[in-house]
Amino acid sequence: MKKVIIMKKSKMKYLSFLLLGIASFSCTSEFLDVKPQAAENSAAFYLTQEHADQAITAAYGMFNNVATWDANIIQRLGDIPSDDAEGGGEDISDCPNLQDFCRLTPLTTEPIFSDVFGTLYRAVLFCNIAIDEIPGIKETDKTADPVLLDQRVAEAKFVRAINNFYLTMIFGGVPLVDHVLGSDEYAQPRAEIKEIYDLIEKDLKEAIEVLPERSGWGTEVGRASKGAAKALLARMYLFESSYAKNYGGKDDRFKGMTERWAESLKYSEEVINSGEYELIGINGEKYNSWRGEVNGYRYIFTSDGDNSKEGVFEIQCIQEGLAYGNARGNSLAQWGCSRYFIDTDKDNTVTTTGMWGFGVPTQGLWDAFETGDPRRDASMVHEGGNDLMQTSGGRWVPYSFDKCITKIYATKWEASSAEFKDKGGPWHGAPQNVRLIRISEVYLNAAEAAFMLGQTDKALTYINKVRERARMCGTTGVPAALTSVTLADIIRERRVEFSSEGKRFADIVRWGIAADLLNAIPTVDGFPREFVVGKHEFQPLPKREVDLSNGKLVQYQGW
Amino acid sequence: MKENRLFDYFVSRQIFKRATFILMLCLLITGFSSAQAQQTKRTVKGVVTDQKSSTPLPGVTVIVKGTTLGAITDIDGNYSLAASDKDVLEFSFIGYLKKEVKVGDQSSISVKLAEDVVGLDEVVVTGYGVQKKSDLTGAVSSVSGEKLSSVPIMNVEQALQGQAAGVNIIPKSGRPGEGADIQIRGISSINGTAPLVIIDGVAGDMNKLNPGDIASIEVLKDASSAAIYGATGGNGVVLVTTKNGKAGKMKVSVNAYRGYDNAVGKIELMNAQEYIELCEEVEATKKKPLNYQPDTLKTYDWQDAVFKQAVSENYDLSISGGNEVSTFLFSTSLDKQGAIIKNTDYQRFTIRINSEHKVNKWLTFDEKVTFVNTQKEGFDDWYWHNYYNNPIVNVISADPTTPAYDENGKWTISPRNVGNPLVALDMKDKIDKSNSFEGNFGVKINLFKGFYYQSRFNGKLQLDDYKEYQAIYWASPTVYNTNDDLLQGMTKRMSYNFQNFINYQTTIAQNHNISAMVGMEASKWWDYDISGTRIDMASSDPNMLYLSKSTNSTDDIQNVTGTGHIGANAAYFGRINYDYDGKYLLTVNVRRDGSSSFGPNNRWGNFPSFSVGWKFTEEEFMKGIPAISTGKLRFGYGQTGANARTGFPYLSTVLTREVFRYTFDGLATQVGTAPNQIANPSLHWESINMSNLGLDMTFFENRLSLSADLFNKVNDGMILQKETSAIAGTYGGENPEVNFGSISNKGYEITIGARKNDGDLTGSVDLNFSGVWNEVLTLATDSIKFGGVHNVSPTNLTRMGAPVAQFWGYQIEGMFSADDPTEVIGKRTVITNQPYSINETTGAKTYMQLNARPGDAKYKDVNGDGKLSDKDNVNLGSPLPKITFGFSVNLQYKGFDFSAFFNGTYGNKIMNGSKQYLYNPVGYANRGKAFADRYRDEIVKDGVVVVHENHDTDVYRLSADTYTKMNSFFVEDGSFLRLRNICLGYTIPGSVSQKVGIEKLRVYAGARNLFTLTKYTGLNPEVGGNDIRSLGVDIGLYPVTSMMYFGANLVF
Repeated sequence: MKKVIIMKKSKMKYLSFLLLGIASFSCTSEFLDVKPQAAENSAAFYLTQEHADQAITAAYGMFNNVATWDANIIQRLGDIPSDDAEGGGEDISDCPNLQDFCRLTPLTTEPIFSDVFGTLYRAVLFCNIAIDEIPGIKETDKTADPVLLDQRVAEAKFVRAINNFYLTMIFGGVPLVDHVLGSDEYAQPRAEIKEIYDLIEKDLKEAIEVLPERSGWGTEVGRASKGAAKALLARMYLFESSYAKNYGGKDDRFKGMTERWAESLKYSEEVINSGEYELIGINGEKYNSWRGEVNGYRYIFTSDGDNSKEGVFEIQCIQEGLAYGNARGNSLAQWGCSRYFIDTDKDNTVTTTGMWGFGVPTQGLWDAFETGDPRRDASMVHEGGNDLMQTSGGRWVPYSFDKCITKIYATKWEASSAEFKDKGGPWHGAPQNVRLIRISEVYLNAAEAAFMLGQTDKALTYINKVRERARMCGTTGVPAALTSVTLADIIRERRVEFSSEGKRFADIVRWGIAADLLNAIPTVDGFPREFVVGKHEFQPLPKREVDLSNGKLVQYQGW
Repeated sequence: MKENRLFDYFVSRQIFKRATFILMLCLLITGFSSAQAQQTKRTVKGVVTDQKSSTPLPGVTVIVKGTTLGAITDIDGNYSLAASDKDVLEFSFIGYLKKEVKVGDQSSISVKLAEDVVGLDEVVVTGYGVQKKSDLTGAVSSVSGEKLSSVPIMNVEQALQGQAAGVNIIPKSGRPGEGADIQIRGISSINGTAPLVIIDGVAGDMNKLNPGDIASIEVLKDASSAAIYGATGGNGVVLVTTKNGKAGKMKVSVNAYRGYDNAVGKIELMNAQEYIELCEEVEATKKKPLNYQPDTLKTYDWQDAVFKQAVSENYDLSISGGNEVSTFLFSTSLDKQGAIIKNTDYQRFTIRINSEHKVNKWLTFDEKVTFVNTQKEGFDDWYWHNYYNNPIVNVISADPTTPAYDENGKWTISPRNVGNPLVALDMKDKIDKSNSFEGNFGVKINLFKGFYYQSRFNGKLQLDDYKEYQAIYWASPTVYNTNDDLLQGMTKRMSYNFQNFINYQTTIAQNHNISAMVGMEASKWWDYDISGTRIDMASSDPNMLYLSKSTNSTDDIQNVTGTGHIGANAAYFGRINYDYDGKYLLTVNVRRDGSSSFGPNNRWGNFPSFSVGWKFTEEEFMKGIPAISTGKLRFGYGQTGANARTGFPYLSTVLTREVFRYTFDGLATQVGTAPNQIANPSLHWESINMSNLGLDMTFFENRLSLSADLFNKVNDGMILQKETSAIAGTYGGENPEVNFGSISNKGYEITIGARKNDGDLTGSVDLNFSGVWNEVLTLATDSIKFGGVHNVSPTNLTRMGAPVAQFWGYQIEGMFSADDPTEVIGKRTVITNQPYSINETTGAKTYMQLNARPGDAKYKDVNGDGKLSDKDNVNLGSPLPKITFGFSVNLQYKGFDFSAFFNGTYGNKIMNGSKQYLYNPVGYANRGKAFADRYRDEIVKDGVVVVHENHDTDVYRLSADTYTKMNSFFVEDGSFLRLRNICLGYTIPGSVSQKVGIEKLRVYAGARNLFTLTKYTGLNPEVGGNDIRSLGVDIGLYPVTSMMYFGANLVF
């Protein structure tokens, strides 16, 4: 008996040794909790100041997504559907989708809608991540500057707000995404425009508290600033006020909106009075640019005028010679400038410029300028004029209007041949920044708000400031200072000041004059346009999104 | 204290030893005393040997029938016992047929035992244990090592090919060292079908195993058997057990063969005359005629220039032996596979030491140590499977008017600038080496009767490296390399596996047999790699080719990179086997698996299964049927998992991408970091549910066997990227992965075997075949379009309600001819007997194939709208076979043995991608012979007919409309029957060989891939190496070879 027990004892020793081994494996719950190698996962990221900087940079990076902001938002959705521009291109069969934007008959499957919707929401996601993650860095990185971290969060709020603003401006009520969505939240209905506006207002007010003025960023002038946030907030109040005034009570899409002119005026004036910005060329200064010596208004839109004191918020563009898809250039020159030139060195043969000539200005826009307004020739060329464009090697050559349906080309976004064609081709984009908010807009926003409040003196002062700069840029004494102001004056002033800057369609919608204007003017090719009130104020949502929402996301009536 | 313990231990060991001794003594005494009681008996002696090999069989039980008296043969097969004249001796041994011999007046009885090939009492490995084959309730196919060792086999995949019903093995190509795609019971996930491979209890790599070391292979096909491997068993499990030494005389075994490889088949190409005429036709739009005199041109055969006869060699040496305490097996092998294309050699060298030690009655341990070295030359795998670079395509396309080399041995330059494929092949100077070391240590402790504990620890280290030198050369104005560079890289992989389990077996109340097992397993792996490039090497001398010997130190052209990965798995598992009276069988498995690839909430998954069996022939009412020997009905149901994921798909991984950058000052960009893919923290295992109904029967004393299975396998929760609303922020990035997709496979498997084990002529005939119906039930996206060759893409469509990866394209209905009515519309002559659409406003007709000309393919207007669009695409067939089968014959007559083995598929289609090159509508590449007969019109240049009219043909004209659209022309029947192996051997009679000290000498000769019956016009109907989403697309793979071989097995 005893022997048997001893035998077992030695076995038990061996066994217990092994069981200890098992236990050491099974007891550690961390055994399966291994960390990714050479690939940061978000749980292990957002720990340092550098991570915060990189997170916010990615959100800004979406402004450079090829063609989204410049060609799509500004040209295709901002100008072509309005009375300012037509589809253009080679002929009416060229890029039928652009012709459709002009005729107000775009398809819901239009890829440009998906691109704009998708890119803006991607930026919103990156902002949501930054807003969620960056505050925690104060704990994980004691060397990080807490003030700078707060500023990064405020920048994210501004970027989220501007993306949300353009989403509502283009699509109306869209899903409200104020946090990183879980996989069960991907199907969302539209929020009211007002609900999104509330989020924009909250984001911007919080950002205003924290962001430095533009000059506070040192060389990094491309970042969101206190001035930019205030200007955007003023613009949002202006939009809300016009929507409330012109659609309130009639159209459910604008439910809950009220006229907030005073708030709009207040924030615009704060920007104007901040001393950070000035109307470039208001004293008749001349500037050097690739075009040679130019007036202030012309200068603003050259790459030399990037981040001048005119710019309140500019999308930073850069010509790096990168491949299409990665390029951080401005593609407005590519899409919008003259398609052909006359090669005077080669028997006046018509030669392609490498640009495509879409979104050509209308005769109506040309005529809207007062005769002698220097802004017209700084913005476009008309057949019969003596203007020259720069082509390869820096040669100056005449434009060819053979293929131009309106016989007018926009020149505001032209780039020099050195910046553009000589740097490896059109797709690589041009270097001049996309001016999303200029100080002249803030003046005109203020003028409009003041006018609506009955403060006509103020309105007159602000509109005359913009006209004064224009006048000082030329030699004709035009446009002269107004002695009295009407809403029509403000409307016309915005049109000529901001031609080819993508503001017109949203403006005529909010003023409630789109149907009257557009239905009266067929396209150059004779296609009638029918702006249906209650439908065309906003573009349709991408069909893909509607399909993926399990019936939650519904098109507005008519689409 | 410590010393005391040690002392205790020592004493206990001594006492234990003594106790054992006394116990043995008692047993012996009892034995003697009972022997003394039978006075009339005398001693009978003899030797028991194996009938086939004449080798002595140790351990055979010899008993006097009807008594408990008996003996066991010793190492040399000798036995000795007491018996009387009237007694009958019964010889029995596992794996052999029982034999009875009357004693009579003999005092020496030597018997030869025949192997029980059916092996019903054979023990099969089932994962963390073994089970008698007759008691199996799951679907398990078993291949014995014996079967593998008689013919040349290069890898485990080849060993399994066609051997097991329901196991479809498709070699990736004929290139040496490439593995195979394995599909067990169909395709249950588009993420891959690779089964779990377990070598001696631990997950391993089939390609790093010497086939000569294999004792047996078991394939666990159904969920009830594979569920013990839980989350990794979803695609089936291949269990490989390696050989071990046997107690007894030391045995040295040598196996060597040599084979001569030639490419199977050859693509018939145009000759120089036909080629020049084609070039003229391609040129037709250009003004100048070509300055060639076609009749005098010589045709050069590029396939002959590139595909050379190659030699395969294999040497396998093993030494084994041992005693009652320790047994060992040492083996080493060298395998060189014939490379019919230069610079594509492959070789594998292996060393294995397996040993087992019985320390005492209750403690056994074993260790298995292996070293494997493989060397592979030339282009990487992806290169051979890429239609754009694939050298085979370039061989087909080469200019037949120029030879490979000129008289000076330089590459020729085609006057039409068609690439010379030998440039790339000659200049490829890359070698990939892999060295793996593995140690596998196991302990088995018998705690008490029926209860044992087993533990295994396995560690692996694999060091892979590559070195490539890109020399300076000039082949043509467009093909040259002006800077030489050196690329070198290393990868280090490490892993360990630790497993422990306890087995208990008991019988309660005589009839209730229960065995239970519980255990755990944990493993962890990690790897990292580093690689670098330098240009401008100081010398091209191989001894100088190291990264330090670069003469160029410019930063931006030097590159160093590297990354790492890590992963861990853990599992708990258990099994209960129960049988009542050996008649009613039940097995229940459960496994709980955890993986680091899934998030904390879904890290663990449970995988239960059960199976029941009924040996109905054990029932009284069946006993009266003499024809039926055994019969068993099985049913099983279970759940397994598949995890095609490595990495961390549950985590939101942030990336630095070019598009995330931004500039804030207009001068320099700053780095941006963001998630590129939205994470899905709730991602979990793919879950595969399978039920299986099986029947096993043997007839006529086990001479005929039949096994049939029906199964239904459904993958629920296949991992796919889900189309996600852009509000999630997915635009421009990757959609999140979700468990949303389901594929079902329903099928049958039948295995029939007949064998004759007695007489001079013995042998067996085996047939297995299976069929699977595959259907995609749900998908996270509408459909998945995939696959492409050159300018035809996509080729396959995976959609709900159909099998995976169907070929999808236009249906050709015929050919437009010169007799077709035409009409001039604008400047065009349009053929009018075809569908058209009408413009509602203008009333104008638009014909479907507006640009069609005589000789063009006529497409079917499937939706009847008169327009040719995606909506006219139809299912052109499935790459999945309706039936796969294998058939083998093994015969032995006296010293001769003969084996032949066929396998094949029926009912699958192949997208013949090589037609893309053989009927290429553009350029000056050479084309297939059949294209010489294409439809064409006469072309005259400068009064000379350079292209002859050919209207009487069914080969479509040179036209992009036909040859660049996915259509029925490219899809062919892929059914085939291939004589995989045929072999004749002769074993020198033992009586002769033993005189010179040789136990066994067998010489053999045979052929592999001797012939293939197929209607397929491409090089090889076995199309492997494709993504599941583009199955069956033949881009023109490295040809398979037919090999004539001879060899010898020598044992002494």
